[in-house]
Amino acid sequence: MLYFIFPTDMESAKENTSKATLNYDFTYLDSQDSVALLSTCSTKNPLLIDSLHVVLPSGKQRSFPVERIFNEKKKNKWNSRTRCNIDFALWEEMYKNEQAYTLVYTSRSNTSLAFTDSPRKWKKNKNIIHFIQSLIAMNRK
Amino acid sequence: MKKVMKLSFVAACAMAFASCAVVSTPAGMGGLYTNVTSGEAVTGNSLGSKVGTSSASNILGIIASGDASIQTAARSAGIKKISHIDSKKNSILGIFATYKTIVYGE
Repeated sequence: MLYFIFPTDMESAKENTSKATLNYDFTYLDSQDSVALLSTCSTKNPLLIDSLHVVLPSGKQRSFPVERIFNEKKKNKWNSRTRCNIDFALWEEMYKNEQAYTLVYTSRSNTSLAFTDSPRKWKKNKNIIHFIQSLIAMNRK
Repeated sequence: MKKVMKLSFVAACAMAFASCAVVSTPAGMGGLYTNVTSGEAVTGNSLGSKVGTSSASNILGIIASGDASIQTAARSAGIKKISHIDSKKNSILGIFATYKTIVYGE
């Protein structure tokens, strides 16, 4: 069974030196038991993203290699579309906390971009995804 | 009197533009609210594990823009072999409508 969470935006963290936006979606396939995180980073300058770091509120951090799907210029911004597979257990852990996790994308040029949800958006997203995760857990064979 | 005239003008505008941003669906069109996901096409390929989306929107029936093409949706997930395609249509009060193409494949 396939579960797809429609694309949604995540806010740029305050520590970012340059403006950037993130649009991401999740796909879960029970036969693989992993979650594909597809994301589009929009930046002023082109970016070759090669890794993703998931930072939980507790300080725990996991890093993953990122597959680049494409880079394109749209109007006056550069879009970097990437895919990353994260394990289901971490995905569950990401949505267990009262505070939002942070996604940090790093590139070959050592540029780092962090994104996180505002408290209001986090509350809404957390409830929806937590519900979907419960559905997945109930339907797992 | 002026306030009444202003309110009447706003109401007239709302009526004029209502139901202009609409999307048709296999279940028909909702006058107030539409939110329908339906199948568009299927191929002989087995069910894919990748999902890509693209979308276009319409405001008041005045401005319609976007890219809801299958190519863009497939490209967004790096899909090279399409298994099937769905669409999601959403419309609110005829003021704002969106059409999403959802492509599944490998």
